[in-house]
Amino acid sequence: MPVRTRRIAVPRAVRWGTFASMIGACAACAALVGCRAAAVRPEGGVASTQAAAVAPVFYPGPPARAHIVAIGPLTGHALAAKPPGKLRRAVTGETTGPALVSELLRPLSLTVRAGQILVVDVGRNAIVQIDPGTGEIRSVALKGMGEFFRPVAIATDGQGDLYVADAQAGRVIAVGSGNTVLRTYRLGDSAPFAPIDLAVSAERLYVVNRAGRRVEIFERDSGRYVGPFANSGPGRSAFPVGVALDGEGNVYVVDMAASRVRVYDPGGVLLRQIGAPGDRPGLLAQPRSVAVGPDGITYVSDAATQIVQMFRPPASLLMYFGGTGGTIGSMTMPAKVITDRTLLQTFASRLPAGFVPQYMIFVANQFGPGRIGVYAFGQVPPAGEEPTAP
Amino acid sequence: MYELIALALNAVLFLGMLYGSVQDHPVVFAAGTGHEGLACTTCHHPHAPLGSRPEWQPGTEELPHFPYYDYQVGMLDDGSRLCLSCHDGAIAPAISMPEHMQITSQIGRSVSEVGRPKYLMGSHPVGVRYDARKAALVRQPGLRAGVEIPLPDGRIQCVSCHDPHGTTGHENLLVVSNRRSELCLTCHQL
Repeated sequence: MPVRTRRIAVPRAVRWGTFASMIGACAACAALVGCRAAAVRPEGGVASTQAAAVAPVFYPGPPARAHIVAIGPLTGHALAAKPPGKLRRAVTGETTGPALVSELLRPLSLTVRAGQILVVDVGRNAIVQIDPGTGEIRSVALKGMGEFFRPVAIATDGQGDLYVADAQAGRVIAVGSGNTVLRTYRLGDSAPFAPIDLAVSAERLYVVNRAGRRVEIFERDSGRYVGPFANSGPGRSAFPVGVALDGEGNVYVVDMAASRVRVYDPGGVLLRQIGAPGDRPGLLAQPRSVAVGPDGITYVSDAATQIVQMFRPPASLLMYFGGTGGTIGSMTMPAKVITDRTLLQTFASRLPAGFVPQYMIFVANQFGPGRIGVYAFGQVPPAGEEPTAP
Repeated sequence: MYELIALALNAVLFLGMLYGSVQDHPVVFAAGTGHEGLACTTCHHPHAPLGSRPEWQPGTEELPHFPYYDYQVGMLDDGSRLCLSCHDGAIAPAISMPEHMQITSQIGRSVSEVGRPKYLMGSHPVGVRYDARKAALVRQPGLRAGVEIPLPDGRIQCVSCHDPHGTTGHENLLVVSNRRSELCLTCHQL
């Protein structure tokens, strides 16, 4: 025999009253305890700024003197902001924000501008701006960009202008203050152009062109195409994927096919090579990105081995850090590595006591629990010596 | 003496395998495969006998081998992780994101438990378990045991549908041609 159920009739007014009282209770509670659930959605993938302090990890480990300290993934929280409506998009041309960015999906590249860390997230197809001081995360809306903007790499120059590479559309754009597009860098119509990494000097813009398997040079301020860089002879890179500059204007090119980093002078003359194929210290398996510290130390990230190796000129291995293991310094398919001095003061309070930092290192991990790894380069003074201010 | 014989046999076997693999697999990919111009070392990194001792990490112990692609992303095997290391949207075209990762982050679950992704975007989720019986029970598109496609640990990985060496000669490096949906019908019954 079927069981009969009888629906209890609740008057509509009571139902709405219950709903309204729930909303009211939530608001009252929020006012009392300072809850911002209604205004700010807690961030998911990147840990909160209020997260409990995690013990830093030193590299190399004892008994060697540490030179790198990992202080955990970059933290922050997303701001609640409505994505632009149709009318606003029609007027301003915005397409990418300022929508809520709750989690970095697959960061490939990053740079630092005016105290802000800008990350290219190919998983969200967005440029994400993280304020390391306040922890605010927001996506960057570029005015005048079309629907088919696919950023994959980002860099900045000394004036604070941004350079963003779009591999799919075959262009690099320069972005000034106010996030307005200043100029576009393209090759001729017939030449294949898929920019995947950038480096900016005072006069030049170096662009890794995946489609042409070479590095291209543009005049930075005019946008004029100059020609390919170091594209002939025995020092030619077969499959460049990353580029960086040192303080003297020398150009560092990551050749993934040859598992080497090649260093050229600004004229394209090969000066030296770093690494060789292999899986031991000093060797490179799948080098992905290169950065040069203010002290001339070269940092090379490796997507196969999950480490960053550090070399001093000409090509001597100093140490390595990262690796797997689940610590806060671990890496998961690292892509871009950069060094930066401007954010040293911002992170100073998070560095362990006694560690004398010289500059920061940021690593974009494509996967894993902490997408943006934060490290400081410096040293722990020998026992008995007082640490000095940076 | 026995060690020497074993060593010689191993060397012969290794050289034979190497010769065979070079015969079977194109060392440099032909035009149209999407991998043209790439050599073995683009994906296969040698285990080097030597390295260099880090100046700031002195010691007398043997230099370590770093493991390759040794990390956790959903239920991807090391082969799929190798593919992902280049297929990121910059160095090589990305696999469909974020749908792939939403599925693969559901660790240990099958498509039938997670639900089908809203947008396949021309690609298939990876890392999911191939579970024909359960799929049939919950009225998901019927699956039949695929013997033509490899299923590492019973899961759909990149190599399930793609032969990265391009030995089959099918379009898009597929293991089975997808003309008339042949590849899809290897697993999915109508």
